[in-house]
Amino acid sequence: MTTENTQATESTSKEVQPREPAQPRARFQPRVDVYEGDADWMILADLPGVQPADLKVSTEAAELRITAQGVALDGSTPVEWRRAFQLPRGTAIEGISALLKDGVLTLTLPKAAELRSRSIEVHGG
Amino acid sequence: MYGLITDLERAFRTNNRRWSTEPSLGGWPRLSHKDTDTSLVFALELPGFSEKDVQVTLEHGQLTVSGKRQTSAPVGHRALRLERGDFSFSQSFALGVPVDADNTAAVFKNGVLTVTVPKAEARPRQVPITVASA
Repeated sequence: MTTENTQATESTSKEVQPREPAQPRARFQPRVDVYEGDADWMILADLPGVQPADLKVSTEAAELRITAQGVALDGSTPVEWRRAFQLPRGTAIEGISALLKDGVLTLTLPKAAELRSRSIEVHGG
Repeated sequence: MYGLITDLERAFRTNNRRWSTEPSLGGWPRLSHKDTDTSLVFALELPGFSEKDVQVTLEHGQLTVSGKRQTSAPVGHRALRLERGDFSFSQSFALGVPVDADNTAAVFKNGVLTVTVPKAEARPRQVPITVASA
């Protein structure tokens, strides 16, 4: 607690207090499940305490990055969540969608058309 | 053909070596408790849980929070990597002070459960006495 000191004599004799160093950030790596279906891949990531506005999902080249800012359970320590993945060849990057609900991020990564499974007719010889 | 399989196996390997991160595994669910002037506040990280997956009970001066989460593959999908897992837990806290059980509140937000237990208000010990002048 600091109080403004209006008396000039006192303020000059006062020592200048150094600012408190910035609070260290806790860094966490979310746990993930990765699934594959015929038409897409899905990534589910636990991000408790993260609000949608504080979550960023981005791709750069073949890398998918999840970064989020949150607050630790103590209500004050800033928390940074980070994880990155190598995207498989054939990911339709422009079709990636993200949903954050109940502290779980669900990413859906559609496969490019040529990767989707299809059955191939077998002809008798 | 072999090339394709190798590529799929390599898919989703994680690129984290250049990011120094603290492991988030162990001691799950992370929890904290705070003792303020007016209440005891307990917070637990429970991602993927909803209200119906969690029980909160308060009896005999003890708060118990328990719950269960089950994860399953989305329909038509197979797992490539599983870290989140099914989870059940039960955690009890001895409160140690008289509390106002009726006004205990539990709130779920963004996968964090916060239970606020108000402390019972201390009864006023001072009894006003009218002093009559002699």
